[in-house]
Amino acid sequence: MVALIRYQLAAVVHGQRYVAPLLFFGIVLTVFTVNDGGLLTNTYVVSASTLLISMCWLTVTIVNHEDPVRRSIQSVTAGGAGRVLAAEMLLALLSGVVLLGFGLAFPILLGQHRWGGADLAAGALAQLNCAVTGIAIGVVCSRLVVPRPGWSLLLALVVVIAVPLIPGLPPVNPVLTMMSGTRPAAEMLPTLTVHLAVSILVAAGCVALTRHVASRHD
Amino acid sequence: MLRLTDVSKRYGSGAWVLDRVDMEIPPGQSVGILGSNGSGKSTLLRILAGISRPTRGRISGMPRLIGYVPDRFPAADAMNPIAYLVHIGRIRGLGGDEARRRGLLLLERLRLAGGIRTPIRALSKGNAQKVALAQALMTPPELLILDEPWSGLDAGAHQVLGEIIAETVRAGGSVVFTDHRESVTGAHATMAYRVDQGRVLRHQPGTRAPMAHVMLTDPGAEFRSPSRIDWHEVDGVAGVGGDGGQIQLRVHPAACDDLLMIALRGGWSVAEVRRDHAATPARDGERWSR
Repeated sequence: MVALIRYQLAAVVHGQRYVAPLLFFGIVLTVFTVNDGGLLTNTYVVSASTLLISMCWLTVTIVNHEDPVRRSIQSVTAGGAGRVLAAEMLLALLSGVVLLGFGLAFPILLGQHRWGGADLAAGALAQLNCAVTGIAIGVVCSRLVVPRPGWSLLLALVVVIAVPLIPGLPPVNPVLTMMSGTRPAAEMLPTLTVHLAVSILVAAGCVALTRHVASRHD
Repeated sequence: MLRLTDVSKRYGSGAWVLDRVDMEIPPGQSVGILGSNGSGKSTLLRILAGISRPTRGRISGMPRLIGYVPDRFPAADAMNPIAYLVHIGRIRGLGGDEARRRGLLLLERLRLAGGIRTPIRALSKGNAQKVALAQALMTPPELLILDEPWSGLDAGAHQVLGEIIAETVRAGGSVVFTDHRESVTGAHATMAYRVDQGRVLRHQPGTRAPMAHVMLTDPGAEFRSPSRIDWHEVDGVAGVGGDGGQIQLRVHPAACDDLLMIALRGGWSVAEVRRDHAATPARDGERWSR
């Protein structure tokens, strides 16, 4: 699995399409966090929602980077299409964790906030939640499920905008709403953990759905 | 032993691409699969490689180490051949150094032109096909699946490919390959199947399906001289004989009319067309087609 992830990483880096989502994340994060004051948890709402969009975009890039014929070679080499998809999901998750690190550190380094361990934990949970949800949306909008790029882009845009905006729709909207308020970070941690669990379940469902649809296309 | 039992395949609610296929791939055999373009050969290979799942039917005895070479190798990436092969070797469980050594050996043997550090997307079709072949051989496969492997390869690589098929079979592995030319299949297969409109039928060694025989002549000095055609490349041609002025062709009956069209367009005159009426036994010592 490590060799497979390593290959995917090399192939994605060679393809250079990853640059756009990373640039988007960096620019939005910088614009909204430089010289920002106030509650750190409020600022993390920006990090988390930007990460949602970036991870959706990056996941589509990772899954779509390889031509279908080349993908079938990979699946024979790796011993199954499921393993190839699993490697892609793990790579997406790893990149999500790296971006999450930047999302946590940027507001602290570039703004003026009073912060503690609970703020960091709340920020990490909220961003991980958004990263996992972004991966879930990305994988069902990839070529494996939606073969035509136009529809894929449209679907991804609609879902990635709707998910954080529909009031009360778990797992992202309640988290962002709560983090925008003034509750102390420590009190939010249990709820954030529950929502993270929900997002993991949603992502697992989306990956399974993708696997199912892709195997029917093959 | 890899065995397909009553396997059928269709995509969505479309027509059946494969229809109730029963097939065996014994170890130590090289299996040729014949059939015209679009007959379902590639789908059959994708099922044997485990890429496609059959809509109905059962597959048993799928080997663990499979090498798969598709009929084309789309290359849009900037990765170079040796880096790609090292990655494939690592995924197959080799160490980095071992994978590099084996990759270099294979590329040298296949005489990859254009350099091992050229991005794959900058390679010619034939050279990209060599990379495709090399990736399937990074670990000696128990089952080597080749989709139209001769197309696009140069003469030197043709010979190497023949050796690779023979070596895999000698090592107890099986090889399955497709080609639309019976002359090629006959030279490299120890058993054969024919795919026709989704049905897969065993081509029995020792007997021959009824064939058509076509004799072409040069129409004479008052006409323009006929164009040179590589008859081995024409669909359905199983054998070519004769000299420059007169050519004898053995052709699959279904492809006979198309062949006549090609011949007449090329300025040849048709001297004789004859059909076998029933399956005729092959002469002693002759393989099932040559």
